[in-house]
Amino acid sequence: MRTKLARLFPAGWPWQRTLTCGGGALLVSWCVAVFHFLFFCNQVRENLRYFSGGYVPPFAQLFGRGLFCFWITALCVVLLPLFLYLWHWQGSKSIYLMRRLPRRSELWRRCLAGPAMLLVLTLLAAALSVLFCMMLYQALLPADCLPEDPWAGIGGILCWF
Amino acid sequence: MLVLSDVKKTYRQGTQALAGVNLSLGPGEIVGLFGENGAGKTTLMKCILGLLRYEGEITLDGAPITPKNIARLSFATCEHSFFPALTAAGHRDFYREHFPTFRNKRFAALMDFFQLPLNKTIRSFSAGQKNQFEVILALSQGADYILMDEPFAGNDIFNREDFYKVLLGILEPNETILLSTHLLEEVQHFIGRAVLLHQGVVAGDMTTSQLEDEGRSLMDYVKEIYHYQSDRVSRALDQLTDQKE
Repeated sequence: MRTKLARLFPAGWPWQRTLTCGGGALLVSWCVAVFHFLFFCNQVRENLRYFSGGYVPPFAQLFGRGLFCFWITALCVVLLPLFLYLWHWQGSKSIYLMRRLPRRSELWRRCLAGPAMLLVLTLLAAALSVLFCMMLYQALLPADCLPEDPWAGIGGILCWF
Repeated sequence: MLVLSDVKKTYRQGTQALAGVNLSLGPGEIVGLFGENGAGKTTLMKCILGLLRYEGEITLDGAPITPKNIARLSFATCEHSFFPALTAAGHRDFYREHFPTFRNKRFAALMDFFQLPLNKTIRSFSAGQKNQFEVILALSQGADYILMDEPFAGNDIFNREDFYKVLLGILEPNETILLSTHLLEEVQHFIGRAVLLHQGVVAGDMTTSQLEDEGRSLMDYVKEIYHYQSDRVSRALDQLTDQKE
């Protein structure tokens, strides 16, 4: 497993540290998304408790910009291939070796495969956090106060910064 | 046979590094590539390896150099082409994966001879050890044509001497070496042929046995080709002395 993961990054690249940082960023992003949502959920519950005629906004409105940290993580991951490519000039010109390998795609594979994997994980974690918050939305808010279409505009979540 | 026909290279800023090089290297030759700084030695090697675009034609046994036959060429450069953060054992595994003809036995023997640690990252090696490791990789790749661009820059004389001896001892009859260096006198007994580059063209090409037959040293030959003015130092000193007076 270790060897397979190492092969997704340039030879000698500290991939363990990259994966640890990536995992940490995803955890923080997940927590930010969920706690951000819980904060607004709590506000709605307070409003319902103290004000008559209070209403529950659709999920998308309540979730707001909860994916903000995921977007920042994704942006970093998208820029990572550039650093991986420049790595081949650090301390030596290993780019010479990479460019004369019989398997020409090896250089690009090692620059792109790791970031691609991290990007997929970021999107998955973001989708999971949205799903988790949807479950919280249904579990925490009174069903009779929910709007007619609680999931209206859910596709727009991805575009909200 | 590695054949270069009318190879030209002009850099973007307009500098012509190679102005039509014609050269052929046969199997088993040990060729010294000499020339002043900027003569085009490094550019020539990079063109052969496809690291630079060029005009002209370079063929290996009649076929252009492509990913199919690139493994028949290896390269040791003073700029180094290893991965500094990878261990020697990691390099061995990387080379084994990409070069099916990798010579495990030779790699182990050379690592042992130069007493280089297998499990330390290359960045922790001394400058001399890094050069040694670069050459070890080039020799162990299993290539037929081994290009070396000033591989011993920074190594002490004892290290270099050892290397020449080891090289002569381990090379197989079909292995060709193209060695670019400024250490003329040191390599003259090691090489079989001297190619002189001057301003991007081959200015001289002679076997060392021809030189021996003519009773000339490699240094004499180089000086002759480059029209070296032996009195230029004394003239310069005279001029300087006059100025002082």
